[in-house]
Amino acid sequence: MSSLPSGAAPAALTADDVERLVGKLAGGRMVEQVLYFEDRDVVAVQSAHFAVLIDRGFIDELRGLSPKKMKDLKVSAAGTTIELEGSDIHIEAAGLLVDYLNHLRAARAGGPMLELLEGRIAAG
Amino acid sequence: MQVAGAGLVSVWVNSRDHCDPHVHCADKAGKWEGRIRFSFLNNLATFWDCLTPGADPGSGVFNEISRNLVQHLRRCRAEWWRLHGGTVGCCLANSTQHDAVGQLRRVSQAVYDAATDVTELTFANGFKRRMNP
Repeated sequence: MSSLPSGAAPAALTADDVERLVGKLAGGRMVEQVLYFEDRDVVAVQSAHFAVLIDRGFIDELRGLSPKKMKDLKVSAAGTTIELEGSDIHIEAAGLLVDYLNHLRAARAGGPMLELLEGRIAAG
Repeated sequence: MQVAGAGLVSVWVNSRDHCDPHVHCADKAGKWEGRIRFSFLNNLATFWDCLTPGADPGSGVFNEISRNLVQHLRRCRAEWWRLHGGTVGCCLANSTQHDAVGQLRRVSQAVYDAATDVTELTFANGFKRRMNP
């Protein structure tokens, strides 16, 4: 993995970066499925080649929903939207991923995964 | 929101989305999905793209949805502003628009008021223009 030149600021991921990256990996679908794990209160966002576990508390839109409701989370036809139709909740999947990846970067967590993603974006 | 177009289709605005202002639309069976752009300056709704190339209902369907969406644009603007007012807003900042006397100027800020359906542009020179689409 290459390191940044001294003095260079790390570029922040944008929604377009993630959409391009995941779209390529998944043959056009942003996200394949989304699952809720009640025992850990986490949401799994699965693309064709990887999955990210996100604490439910990170996703403001899903706060206060019952575990039963959370089980109804699904992905739209194109895989662009994570939705809970009965509750009128629609989340842009690329936007959620970019927010979460930038959160990991700020927390300096998830190093190898972020380096892999950034390497692929730079190469793309 | 439900709009006519190849039967009734679902129309929604996503949180955490990006410019331009747009809605997603999909059939009830969940086979296809597309995006339609709208503006905070006028009442035009235009087909952007089909996100399911393997199940594209055709431009005729999206054009029909766009036509029928016009009567719901105020609600679309309000929902977009509710979700994105604190981030990308109206997606008009740094665009070039006509000021009150028809001069093209750079927009430094755009603020939408859902109660009146009015968008207030503040230009780089400090001039303002209120627009009711």
